[in-house]
Order: sequence, then C-alpha cells, then structure tokens
Amino acid sequence: MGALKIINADNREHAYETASSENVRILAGGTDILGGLYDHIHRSPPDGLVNIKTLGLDYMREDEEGVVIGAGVRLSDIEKSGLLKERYPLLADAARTVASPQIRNMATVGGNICQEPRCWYYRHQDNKFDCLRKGGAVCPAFTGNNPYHSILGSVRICETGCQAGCPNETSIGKYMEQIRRGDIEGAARTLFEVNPIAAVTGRVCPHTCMSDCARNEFDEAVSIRAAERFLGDYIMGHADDFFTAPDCGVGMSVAVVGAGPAGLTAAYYLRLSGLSVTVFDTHEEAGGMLRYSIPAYRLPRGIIRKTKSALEKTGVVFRLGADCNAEATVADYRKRFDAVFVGTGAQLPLPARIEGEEHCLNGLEFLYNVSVEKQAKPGDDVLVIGGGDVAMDVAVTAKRLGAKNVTLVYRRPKELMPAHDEEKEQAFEEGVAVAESLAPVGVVLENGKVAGLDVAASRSGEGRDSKAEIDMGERKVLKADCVVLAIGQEIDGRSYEGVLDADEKKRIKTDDFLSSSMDGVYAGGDAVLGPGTVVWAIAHGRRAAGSIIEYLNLTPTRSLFRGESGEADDHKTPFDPSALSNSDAAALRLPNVEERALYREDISEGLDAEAVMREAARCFNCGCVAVSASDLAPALVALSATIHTNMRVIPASEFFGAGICSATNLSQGEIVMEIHAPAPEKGSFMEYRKFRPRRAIDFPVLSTAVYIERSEGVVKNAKIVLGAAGPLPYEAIDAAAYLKGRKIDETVAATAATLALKGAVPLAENGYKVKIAKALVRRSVLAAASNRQASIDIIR
Amino acid sequence: MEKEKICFTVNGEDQVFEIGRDIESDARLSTVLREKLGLTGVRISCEQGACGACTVLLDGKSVLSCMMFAVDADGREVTTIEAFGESDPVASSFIEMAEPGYGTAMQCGFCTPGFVLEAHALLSENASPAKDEIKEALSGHICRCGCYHGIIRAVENAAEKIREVERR
Repeated sequence: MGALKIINADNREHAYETASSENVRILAGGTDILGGLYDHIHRSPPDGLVNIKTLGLDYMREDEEGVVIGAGVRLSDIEKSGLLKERYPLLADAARTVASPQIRNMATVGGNICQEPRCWYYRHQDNKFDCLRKGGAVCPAFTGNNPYHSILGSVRICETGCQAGCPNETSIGKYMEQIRRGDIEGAARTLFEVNPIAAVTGRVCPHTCMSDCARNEFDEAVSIRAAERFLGDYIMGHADDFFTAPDCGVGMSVAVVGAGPAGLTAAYYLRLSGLSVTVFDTHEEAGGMLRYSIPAYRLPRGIIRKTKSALEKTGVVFRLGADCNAEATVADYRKRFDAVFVGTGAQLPLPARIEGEEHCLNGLEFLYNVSVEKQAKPGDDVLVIGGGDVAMDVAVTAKRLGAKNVTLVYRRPKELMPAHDEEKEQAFEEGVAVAESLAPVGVVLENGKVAGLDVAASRSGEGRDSKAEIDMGERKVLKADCVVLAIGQEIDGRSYEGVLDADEKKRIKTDDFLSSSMDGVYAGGDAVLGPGTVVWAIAHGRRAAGSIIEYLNLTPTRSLFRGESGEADDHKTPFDPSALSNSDAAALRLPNVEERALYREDISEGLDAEAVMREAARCFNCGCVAVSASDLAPALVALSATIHTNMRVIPASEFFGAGICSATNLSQGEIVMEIHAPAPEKGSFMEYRKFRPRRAIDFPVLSTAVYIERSEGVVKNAKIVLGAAGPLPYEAIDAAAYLKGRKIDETVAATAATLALKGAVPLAENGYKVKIAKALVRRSVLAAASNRQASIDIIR
Repeated sequence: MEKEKICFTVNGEDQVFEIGRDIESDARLSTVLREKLGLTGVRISCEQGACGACTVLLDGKSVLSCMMFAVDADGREVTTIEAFGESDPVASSFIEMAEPGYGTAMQCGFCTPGFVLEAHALLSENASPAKDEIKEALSGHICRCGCYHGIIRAVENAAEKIREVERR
C-alpha cells in the first residue's frame, strides 16, 4: 500500500472522467473498499480511488412521487430518519440491521448496494482463491464450504474454463445445459453454430477444454468429448436440416484452396452467406489430413464423405484430384474469384538428416498409402522414429498391418513424447515398444536392404525444448527391416510461394483478421500456424470466412466473430447440485486389442442420449454462488425503487448483477447518484426480516423484504424479495402472484412461502437456508394480515 | 483533485499532515492516530471492522478508525479516549466498576476506550437510554473478558451522573 491515489471529485463531470478513464474505484464510506485493499483480495489493486463524498450527495427529501435519497446518505441517517421510519419502514429497518452503529455512521447507501461479494473464498487475503468471480476458472464454494452461499443457483461471470480452453470458443457450458434440459436439437444447434464438423472433433480433437474443466478439481473432467461426439453424430444424422442452402445467391464467388478442416469450415460459412464457393484440392477426396493421415479406426471415412455431400447440397462445388490444377497458384485463383481462402495445410514430411534416409519410409506417405488401402505389411521389425501423434498412428497402424515388433525411437525420455496421452496409452496397449533417449544416426543396410538403425545415446534436460546432447561414443544398432520417419510435418507452400508473404517456415503472414499480404486473400489453419490441431483449423476457417464476408461488404452472422467481441452466454445459469453426486465420468472405451481393426472405427458407438444427459448433469455449469449480501438491495427491489446514476435511471430489479469483482450492472465510470422510492400505497404493509448468527456485525444469512398492498382485507398487490438467497436479490414472483386477490391466513402464508422457494437448489451445506427463507416469508405475510410490524429483526 | 495536505483536529488540537511525506495517501486513521500522534488509547485489534476497539468519535459520531482512510478525516474533529480525564462521568463509571469479580465493567481494559467513546456518542443523543438501546448502541464492540453486564451498568450509571450534573 502507499502508492494508491485518492482523488477528490471536484464535480460530477470530474468524478465521471476520473472514474471512467483510469483503473480507479469509487470511494464513499470506504468500509467495503478499505478492507479489500488492505487484504489484497483482488488480482491487482486499483491505481486510485475517486472520493465522491465531495459531491454533496447526502440529502434526502420527499415529494408527491416518493422519497429521494442521495447516494452519500449514511446508513445511520436512514435508520434514524423520522420520515423513513414512518413512511418507508422497510428501508429504515433494512439499514438498521447493517453491521454495527459505527459502520452505519460511516457507510453510505450507495456503497451498500455496490458492495462486492462477501463470499469467504472471494474475500480471502492475497487472492488465495482466484475464483471465477475475479475472472478465474473455478468456484471453490461449489465443492467447499458453502453454508452461507446461494440456494438459487449460480450466475455465469466470465468465460468458463472449458470455453476459454477451446480455440474455437465453443459454448460448451451452454450446450451442456441444453442437453440437461433434454433439448438435444438446441444443443446441437449451439455446437453447429461454431463448428460444422463436430462429428470429426468429437473423435479427434485433443479436447484442451477438458483440461480446463473445473470438475478436475473435484474428481474428473466432464467428458466433453463424449458429448461432442454425440452431438456431432446427431448433426450428421440430420444433415439435411443442419446444412441448408442459402435463400439466394449474392453474385460473388470465393475459392477455397485446400479441402482440409479449415477449408471445409470456411466453405460452409461462406456458402451460408450466399456466396458461390468452389473448393480446390489436388487429392481425390475431401478432408485433407482428416482423410489421408488420421487412420480410419479413429475417424471413419464416412464422416468426411457425408460432410462433403452435405456441403454439396448447400451448393458448394468441389474441384478435386484431376479437376484441380495442381500448378495453379493463389494469384491464379485470385484472378478468377472475388476472394480466396488458403487452407493448404502442413503435409510435407520433415527431413530427418540421417544417413540412408532414402531407405526409410515416410510416416505421412505410409499413412496415406494405408488410407487408400495400398500399403502392405511394412515388415516384422518396424522402427518408428518420432514421438508425436503421427508416430503413434504409424506405430499402431503398422501393428495392425501385421508387424510383429513395432518400436518407437525417441531421442528424449518416453514421458516427454509430445503425443496426446490417450494415443500413447493406446499404442502401448497394442504392444508398441519405446526405445527412449536415443538419437538415430543412420540406417544399417545388409545386401542393400534395411537391417537396422544405428543410434546414439541422447541426454536431454527437463523439457521438450531443452537441447538434447548426443553422445556419439555410446552407440548401438536396433534391429529392423523397416524404418519409418515420423518426426513432423512442414508446410506445403507451393501454391503461394513468391505470391504471399510468409516466414522462413512458409507460414503465411496474416493480420488479426487472417488477411494475407494479397488483397482479398485470406488464410488459416496449419498454413498460418504450422502443424497444429483440427480445432484450430476450424476456428481459423470460421474467422477467415467472417473476414471474407466483411471484405465483400456482406453482413456476417454473429457466430463468425464470437470470442472477439467477448460476448457472454445467457447470464443466469442454474446449478444442478446433483452434479456433485454424479461422480464417474462417462468413458468411451476402446474394444479389446484383438477386436481392433485397421479400417473399422474402434469405438463403434458413442453414448446414447440418456448417458449423455447423465454426463451433462456432471457439468458444474460454472458460475458464482456468492450471494448478494446487501441489506438495502432486497428492500429497494421490494419498493420498486429506481437507481439514478450519472448516466441513466435503472429500476432496482435490474440494477443488481454479477460481474467480475462487481455486484451491479454499472459500467465503468458510472456512479450511483440518487435512489428514488415511490410513495407506498395507502394502507400498504412493508417489512424487512433478517436472519443472522449474531445481532450485530453479521451479514444476512437470509433476509426477506415484503411489500403488500391491501384493500378490504384482500391483497391487491405484493412483492416478496429474498436477500442473500441467490447471487442477486430474488423476486419471488409466483408467490406474490398467488397472494393477489387472496385473504391472508395461515394456509395462504404457508403456500406463499412454499411457492417462493420452489426453485431452490441448495448446495451441500445450506439446505437449512431454504427452511429459514420459508419461515421468514410466512411470518412476514402473516404479519401483513395482522398489521404487526416486526419490531426487531428476527434472530436464531 | 489530489490533496497534498490534510488538516483535522484531534482532541481539540489542529494536526496537519503532508500526504506522501508525513503519511501515505491510503493510511488508516487508526495507524496515524497511534503511530504519528502516539494516541495509544486507540486500540488496534481485528482491523476489519468487527471488534470496535479502534472506535473514535468523528464530529461526535462513533466510527471505526481502522476502516477509514486518514485523508477522509480532513476538516473534521476527531476525539479519542485521551480527550477524557478520570473525572469524565463515563470514564469514571467504568473505573468505579473495575473491581474484579462478578459484574465488573472492565478486566484487561483493552476494549474499554471503545466502549467509553461509544457511550459518549449514545448519551449525547439520548440522555436516558433504555437497556435495549444501550445494548444496540454497544453492539459493535466486543469485550473478550465478557464484561458486558458490567459495561451496560456502567453506561447506565454514567447516564445517571450526567443527568444529575444537568439537574444541578
């Protein structure tokens, strides 16, 4: 501390300017912000505070319309105001229950309704729990201590871990929620909006989303893979409903160069917006690496073929194999089309630089030959040089072709092999061996045939990027009749060399919009990133399509740019507490080794709908379960008050929100100026009740603010608002509607209480709050009948 | 604008502080009172607004000096326990009831300054508080020796003393 500037606001404009232009927070009474600053609860402290006590906001007046309370009025003045005590006792009582007399002498009403969450994880010193209310990934209260937390579900604060972990910004939380509701069609639409080839990613995506799943902290990540595969297959099964032709053409054409995942994705979105799209690829079939490198036992060919025909039905034209001029450059395409997307990928083998390299098979060629069913058994003793995904695919494929011994030769320790864990495990399961920490030196020939591989000991540091030291003195020969090189791919830049700007690795240089150095030419996928994953290719294909559509002065659909606009999903996210009891993640299990084949998908069936719904129920639907702790908040909502800021007038019911480090919907620089509460109807009843462990200091464990208008013993109008029950003050609309037109008695009050809590979803430790809430609602409703006001807040 | 100097009175005396030199801009009032002015009657305990030990009077109203920036006292009147001598009706009521045993108003005395100041604030607004009103007024203070019963009686005695003085 010490560097913090405290700036006195000279006037409203100055306050607004200072608060909106810098990383500053508002200072009024200071009782909320000071503690947070000294405890270092935030990720980073503000640079300064704007003191608005200088703005003269400590006035209160009543007119015909109601009462006006300046934001700077102290809670003790509200509590003691004769006017409020007589005409608006709900406000006076709510203020009287806040903390202690000293704090009420300091704290302002504006500060009270803007206070940050009181969750102990949120408030822990030194930001020990970088929880999702502060922009983190996990809510520790879901699975931790939650006796005072929400009984009404959570609120989505920021991108969930899974969505942030997905390069394609898939709204995983949203489709999981749709699956839970049984809305499979809706869930599939949510996924399809950003990913037209989900049946592919459901099988071969590394699912980095799952490593960022908050459930990992509890037991095991939700199997997003299984859900995605299910939805992807659903989309393929209803391809005609999903892949629809545009209503009309727009008279412009785009060439998509490369029919891999980036190209197919771009083609789909470009066609969707009415463009004429032609996809060019020198291979006979569409799919690129998906078709020719990924083995059929992982990704059945049928999916790609079906995707292609679905795209053709929407009007996309494919020029493949002989129909595609292999000599054509990007410049040629650009001359014939209004725009070009280049997604030519990285499919050339990297040279190994070992002696006798020409006697080795190349991994990618090997997989290509297998994919066109032209590869015989490579030998009995096969060595595969490499440790990545391609090396695993080559090794397993060789094994399934009948090779007796397949050994991966890797120059670092086995644990550092970059292939994904599942692929490694599968290879080992199928009998693939590893010769680790060995660097290949040269192929050993006997009678002109491969007889082995000369290797040297290799010592490497901790990480994969550390330099390996090769000891040429320590040598041996590994026996082999076939050596396959699978040490990586490089970019195939033939179609754009000398045309587009590219780096030394032939990666096309693009701007943030994936626009290349040539006007109207966009690029994406491996051609831009270097060898990567399918999901990146899809993300690039989608974004580049959006850029091309904008380039051609058309309006892109919203989904093309998601992520860049930071748009959030539906704000309110119910948390299903049964998630905590469903522990076992759904696993898509591989068949027994002997049942696995080369051209049949290993996992022939995914989960059924019921199992997917069970899996979706494991999703925490990550949101914040801290409650709205303000006592004034439910009172203001019950009174239909409005909050006047320096920018606008907000109804109290829309004022409270849940954002990063915020409990309001205020924007940066927006300052609460006044609160207007309309005059209560004649003969109306209002009451605040609060449950807390001690009479003083404590925040509400639960509170109720009730406002009831009556006429001749019958309820004309009612508002029942729960405080500290959910992340926002909760208006029990059904309970209030039920009261309307009724005469209050014990049964009516009890029914209203039940209705008020019917949507409750308590966490592990706070079921008691539901009972308390019901009791408070019932008592307040009954009190309205007898016109007895609670003389003191309810304790214990 | 950012203030360079602040000035407030403490127990009737003007105190001037230059921000950045004498005190940090975000110093707590409690720290300044104790460390810059040596007013050790301001007790620092929880530093999170829960115990009431650091209570001082700001323009006659009780506030928590640990939950307040010193700069927020600019132009105001601060009163600490040091303002009151042994003859003060409230302080003397506590002292008179300091005998050990059941019903004592103070044992270790750590929380006493806060209670005395709070009682002053209460009695200046309400000369004859009912027991419940005293309890409510003192609800922001914690006495870990558990002398609440004696403290309430001491406040009642103090009220009586003040009323007596006024009657004369």
